[in-house]
Amino acid sequence: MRAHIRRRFNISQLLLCIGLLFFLFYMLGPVYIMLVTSVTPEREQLAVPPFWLPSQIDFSQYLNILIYADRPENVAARGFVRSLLNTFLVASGVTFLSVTLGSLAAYAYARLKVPFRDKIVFLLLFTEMLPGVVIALPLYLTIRSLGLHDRLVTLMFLECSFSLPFTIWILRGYFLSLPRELEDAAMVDGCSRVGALFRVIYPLATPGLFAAAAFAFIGSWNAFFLPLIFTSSAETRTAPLAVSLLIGRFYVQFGLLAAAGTLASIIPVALALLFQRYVLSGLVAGALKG
Amino acid sequence: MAVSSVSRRAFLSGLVTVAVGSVLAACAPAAAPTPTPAPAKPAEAPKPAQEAKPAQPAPTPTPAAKEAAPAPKAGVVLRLLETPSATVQAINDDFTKKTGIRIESEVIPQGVDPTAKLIASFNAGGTDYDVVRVDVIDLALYAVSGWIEDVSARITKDLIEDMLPFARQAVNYKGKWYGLPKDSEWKTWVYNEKMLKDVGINKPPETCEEYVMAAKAVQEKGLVKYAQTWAWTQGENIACDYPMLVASLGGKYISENDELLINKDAGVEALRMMVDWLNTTKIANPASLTAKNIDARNAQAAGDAAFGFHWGTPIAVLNDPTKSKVVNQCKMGLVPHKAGVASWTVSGPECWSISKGSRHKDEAWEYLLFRQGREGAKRQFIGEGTVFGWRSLFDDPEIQNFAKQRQIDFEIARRQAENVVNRPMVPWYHEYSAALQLELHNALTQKKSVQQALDDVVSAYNKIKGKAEKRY
Amino acid sequence: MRALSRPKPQPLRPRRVVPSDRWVGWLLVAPSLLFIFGLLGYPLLYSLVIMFMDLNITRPWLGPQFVGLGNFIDMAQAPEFWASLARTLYFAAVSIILGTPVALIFAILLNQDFPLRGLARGLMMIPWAIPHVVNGVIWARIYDANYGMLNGLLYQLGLIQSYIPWLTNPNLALFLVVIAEVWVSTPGLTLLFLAGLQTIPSELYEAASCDGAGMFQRFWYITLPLLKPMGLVVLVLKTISAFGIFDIVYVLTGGGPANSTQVLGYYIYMESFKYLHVGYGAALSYVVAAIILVLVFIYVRLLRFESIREGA
Repeated sequence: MRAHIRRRFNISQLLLCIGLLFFLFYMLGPVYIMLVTSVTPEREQLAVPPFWLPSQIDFSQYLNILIYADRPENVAARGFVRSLLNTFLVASGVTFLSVTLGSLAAYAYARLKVPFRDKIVFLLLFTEMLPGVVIALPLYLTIRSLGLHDRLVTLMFLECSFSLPFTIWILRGYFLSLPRELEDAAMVDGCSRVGALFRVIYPLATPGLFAAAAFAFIGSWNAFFLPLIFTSSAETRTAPLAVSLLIGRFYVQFGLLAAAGTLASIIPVALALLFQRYVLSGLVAGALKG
Repeated sequence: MAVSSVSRRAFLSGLVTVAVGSVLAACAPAAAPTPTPAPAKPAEAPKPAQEAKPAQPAPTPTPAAKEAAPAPKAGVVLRLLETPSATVQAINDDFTKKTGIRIESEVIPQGVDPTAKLIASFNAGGTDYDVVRVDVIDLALYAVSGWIEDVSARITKDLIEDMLPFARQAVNYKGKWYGLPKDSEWKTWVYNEKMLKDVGINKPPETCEEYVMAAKAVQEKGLVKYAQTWAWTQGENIACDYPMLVASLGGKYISENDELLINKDAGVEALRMMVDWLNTTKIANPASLTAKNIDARNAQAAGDAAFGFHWGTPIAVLNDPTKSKVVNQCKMGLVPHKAGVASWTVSGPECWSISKGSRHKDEAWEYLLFRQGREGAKRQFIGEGTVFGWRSLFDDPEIQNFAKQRQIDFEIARRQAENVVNRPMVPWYHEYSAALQLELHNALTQKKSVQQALDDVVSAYNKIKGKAEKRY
Repeated sequence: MRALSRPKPQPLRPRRVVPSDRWVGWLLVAPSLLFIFGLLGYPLLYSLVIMFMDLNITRPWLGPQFVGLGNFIDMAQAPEFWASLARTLYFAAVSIILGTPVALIFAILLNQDFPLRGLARGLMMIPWAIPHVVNGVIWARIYDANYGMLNGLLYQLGLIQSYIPWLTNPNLALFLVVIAEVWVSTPGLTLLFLAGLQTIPSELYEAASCDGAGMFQRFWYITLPLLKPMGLVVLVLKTISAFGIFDIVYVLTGGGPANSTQVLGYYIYMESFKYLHVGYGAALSYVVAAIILVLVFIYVRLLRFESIREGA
């Protein structure tokens, strides 16, 4: 019996190691390439075969973006930090709105007999499939005439309307995964439906909420087309646009672009590291007993 | 039920943090000071946060500058859609000092097509921008759509005659004038002199046959794997290189009645040459099929190509020790051609136009003259190498001096500038170009024969033309 | 001993909850519906109308021309439409077949206990967090024919004799683009599966182990069935994104060589933005939506849901 357990233990450990190696290589390999590119001096960028470790670590591209943006040759990098802040604010707002409104709706679609609910959910998903120009043009005209153009709040609301359907779709799936017994038990104990939602479901839903929040945040963080059309000035610029500005007319400085990419991914990753502990196991442990 | 109350609290605090963030976003349209450039932003930027009233005819550029300069026309703001560089900034500032008119530039990333923004803007009345940059392939569309102002009445004979022929083409459509030449670039042929000398060739190849021989020699000697990397990825650039080759073989691309002539004679020969170089003689890098302009230039800068065909002022980059491994080895040359035919290149000139919806057309024209007239064009060339479209500037001593310093061979440039071919200027250009790119690729990957591919291009062209003529 | 599947709920609920459920339902759903359709209602209606029109967006004063089903007929007759549809289906298929198992495996991996698991979960998000334009540039560099890392790696390992221009091969290019896209989308999907894994009560695994079920059996009989709702979420998200792919194709290949990577998302973009056939673009999107709807029904059947409504 003991030997049997030991062997199973070793196989799963082995698989774990193999899996982690694959993870490191596939997921983090290109990230490593980006990091190395950002600190490789320009002359070595196009080496054959490539330098896996740069011969000298050159932080000048980071300095160009962060500190020396006032120099004339770095005009494209100006306002980069500001754009990160803008994107963070917008993405936070989008996430908050999407997750709060979306989770309420998703719960209803998952558990309650809302009429036409599947058709509504699909209609929501459909709004994601329309091409940009079809949506953008009428919206632009309306927003211009209301004078709401070039404001971060406008951008936030617009992005939210695109992020909500996905949030609802994700959370609906998640709520459908939770055992029904949980809120049934609460309601037997005298809770109302909404009470059960807030007291029982939400605390258990942190993994799903985290996943949905991540989608909403990243969706907004990476949005390119909406900010392009609906913002104009440097003060409201968002990160993807700021990074694109670093692509020169005839010459792409790979190091600069990679440095910008690294800087732009710090905030989402930091947030992920901070909040990932809400993806806990054992939340539903003991739910079925008794 | 084992529900962790800690997680609930923490979850709520997370929500609150995010909510605070969104509130901050709501209150901070232009709050914090920023390290942005100073292209003269008016005091209250186009964020009518204070005026929430709707139906403002032009919520953006109307005279609102608080600090009126003690000069005429104070209070006017011109809006441009472009990414200003340091030199342009200086020019703009000088213009402001001279006239009091402020210039505000909205920045647009390089690879991004401004058409989407322009469509939105023009459909909303066209007041967003006063001056817009129009690429030669877009001029027909913008003109026909009524987005840009006809300046035939403002332009003078003297200006017209001083324009280089291809630059002139780019500001004129169907007899009407639409602006002044902006960046008037053509593609430059560059060869690595040192490599050619190493194989015993002392003067650059002039005819196509000489080119092929030189290419083979350089490859055989082992100096490079492939003599040239062309930027033939599926995109606009291959649609530029092809007309150049057609013209270099003495052919005509399009007739006066807008009839496409490429599926016979020189057109066929040009494509056959391309297919040959790629697949048979193998003097063109097979990676050319996915190479962009930047890749072609990088190849030459890294010493992996003996010849190159580049936009802008390539020698400056090729002689920059931080970017290039072939410093002082490359020279400009005339594009190889068929014996008996002149050397042709292709251009991508631009036109600086006034938006039809602009409320400050006179001021915009003044700005145009200042910025893109001979003085302004000269400053831009010396400051950052932007190529100009004025013939007289070739004779300017300051410019000649500067060119010598930067090793731009003006003699070559002057000769080349007389023979520059433009792409067809029709409103449906993009659709046609996509069809052309596809068929060129089909021939290059040998999916179709050269003749078949070109016949298909012509029939696609006719089909598109037929449909489009109903719309335009 | 609890059954391993979720039993249907017993009617233990007091009757008075049932009618108020309806109202609660509407109350919960209303804010988001108002939000979305408040903002997008007009554009949606606009698109519904213009797909039957030939709207010349450059000369709007001419007014749109009613063409009825003309856009759809053009679509059916356009060989490029069918070709890009085929490529998109291929793209979706490969992306799903490769990407879903990878995301699932990573999710299971990141659910195990190992030191620095939190760090690994955070690092996993990096590909997703990098701006798309940088992603495109990174993969363009990896695949680069002359200076690429893929070539460099294979060459140094002795697997190839000379650098290969990967993306110039029309047959290979699309596949390589899928690999890049899977890389970008894996973190998100992993997160979804990870969340789904948390909803599986651990007693089920313990009970199964006691009964002698091995690792693989536990996976097949417990994990997979209970992940079906999230599985459907993932499949639909992947399908929608496959039909909308544009960015990465634009940077890597520009649709080439010879249109071999021109997927529907790219085709729709060119038609709507470059050639300004806006009515046609709208018609295309509705057709795409219809196709996705069909695919969703297929997924639901395949996953053996009784209807799309039940998640288990």
